[in-house]
Amino acid sequence: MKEEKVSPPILEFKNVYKSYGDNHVLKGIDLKIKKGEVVVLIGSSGSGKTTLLRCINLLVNIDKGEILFNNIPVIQIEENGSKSLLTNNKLNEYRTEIGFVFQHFNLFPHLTVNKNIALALEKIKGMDKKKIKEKVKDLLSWVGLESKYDAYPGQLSGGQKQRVAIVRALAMEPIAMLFDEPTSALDPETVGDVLEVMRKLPDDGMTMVIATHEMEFAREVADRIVFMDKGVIVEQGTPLEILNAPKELRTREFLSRVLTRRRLESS
Amino acid sequence: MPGFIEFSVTYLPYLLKGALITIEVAAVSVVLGSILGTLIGMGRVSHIFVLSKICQFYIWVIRGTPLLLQLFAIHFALPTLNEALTFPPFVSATIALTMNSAAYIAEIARGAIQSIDKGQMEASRSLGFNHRQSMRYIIVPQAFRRMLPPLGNECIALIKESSLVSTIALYDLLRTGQQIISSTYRYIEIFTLVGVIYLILTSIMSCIVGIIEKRVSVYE
Ligand SMILES: Nc1ncnc2c1ncn2[C@@H]1O[C@H](COP(=O)(O)OP(=O)(O)O)[C@@H](O)[C@H]1O
Ligand SMILES: [Mg+2]
Repeated sequence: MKEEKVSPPILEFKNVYKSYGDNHVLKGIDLKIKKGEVVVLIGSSGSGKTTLLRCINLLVNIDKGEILFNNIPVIQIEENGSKSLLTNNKLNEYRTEIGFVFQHFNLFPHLTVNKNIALALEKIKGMDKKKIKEKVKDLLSWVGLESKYDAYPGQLSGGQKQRVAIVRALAMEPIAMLFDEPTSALDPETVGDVLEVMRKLPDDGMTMVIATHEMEFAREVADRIVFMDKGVIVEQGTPLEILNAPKELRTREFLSRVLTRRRLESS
Repeated sequence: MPGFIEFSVTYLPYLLKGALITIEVAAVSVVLGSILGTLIGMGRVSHIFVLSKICQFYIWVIRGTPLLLQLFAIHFALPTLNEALTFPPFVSATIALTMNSAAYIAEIARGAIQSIDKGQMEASRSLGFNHRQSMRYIIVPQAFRRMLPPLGNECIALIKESSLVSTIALYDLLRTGQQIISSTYRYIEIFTLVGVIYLILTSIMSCIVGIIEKRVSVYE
């Protein structure tokens, strides 16, 4: 068991709603994430995990509620429709503090691995070219991909792409990292390499929010597991509480579905 | 066809000079048209409503009217509005072909920009790039690669369509041919030669398009 982390919340959802037309995707989400905490989101597909993550870095704008970062609202939409949002400059600055890792990597195919990582350091952080080169090389060797410095994304396997994508986000030295099913689009044999990289991050105190279907991984890295269903948080707690002794029927049903599928796949 | 060879040898240099004008008009127009067209295409997909509508209007007008009419409008109608708008044939031809190809290239650019996966913009924004930087460093460079093959085809079309400039007394390939005919009356020989030269020009362009297509597909 990990030690209890007592720092104040770095990210907070207050009664957040989001719908697409008639499809109510988030229905009153309340969630606090502490600095250095690793939170794993589980739930069947369509339950709103991706949308929740996208709301955090404002790739999606919420309809109602409030999202705070370091106790400062980044978006706040009141009942009466009055809304406050970061100004464009502040928004872009805020996004550099939040790393996002996508299910489908979204590497820039026209740029080499090196440029994929270096571009934002150069254009946004204005870092010196020599320092950038050192940093990119360090990061790439940290994920075992130093030999891919000059490769294009098209020449990499899925697992390699995702590791580059993680490094690209990390290079900005974000305060929190969001992962949206980072291994769902991978061949089974490359999943391990990506998880191994992700396992190393909490050691440096990185705050992480991870949507995943990898239950064993969740058990191992999560400080807290949050189970979502149909746009609400049904239940949350330590891995032991959620995976071994779920209180809610919906959680039990979800877990037994996932575990059956696992067993079928491995047999 | 008696004496075709000697006849060709005599007049080919004149025709090649005309061909050079054709190449110049087409090349300048496709380069300027690509720049203008890409800008209009970007305006077309812009979030700024008025800008998008203006670009849409431009594309609609240019693509919906004959190039020959546009050419006449610039060369013959503009000077009647204002003396200062009198251009030599080469300039009128280049303006008309540039404006015309820009409208077609704008649609090519729009298609290319819209074909880029949405995840690219999202990844770029999530790193902290603003919309403009994302377009500049991520979306447009990728879109431009996708534009190259259709741009090559536009260039081929332009080589052929540039023959319309012969109507405003610009001595391009076709007009030079007609001029030779007016003194020799050898329609068949001249039109054959003119046709062959056009074919050579467009075939070379096709080859270039093919090579570009191969090189571009490497990283996709
Ligand atoms: N951009 C969008 N437009 C319309 N509907 C969307 C969009 N994104 C997500 N949805 C819908 O929101 C619901 C939740 O999706 P998502 O957040 O992706 O769930 P999860 O990641 O848990 O699978 C789904 O019903 C999905 O169809
Ligand atoms: Mg999802």
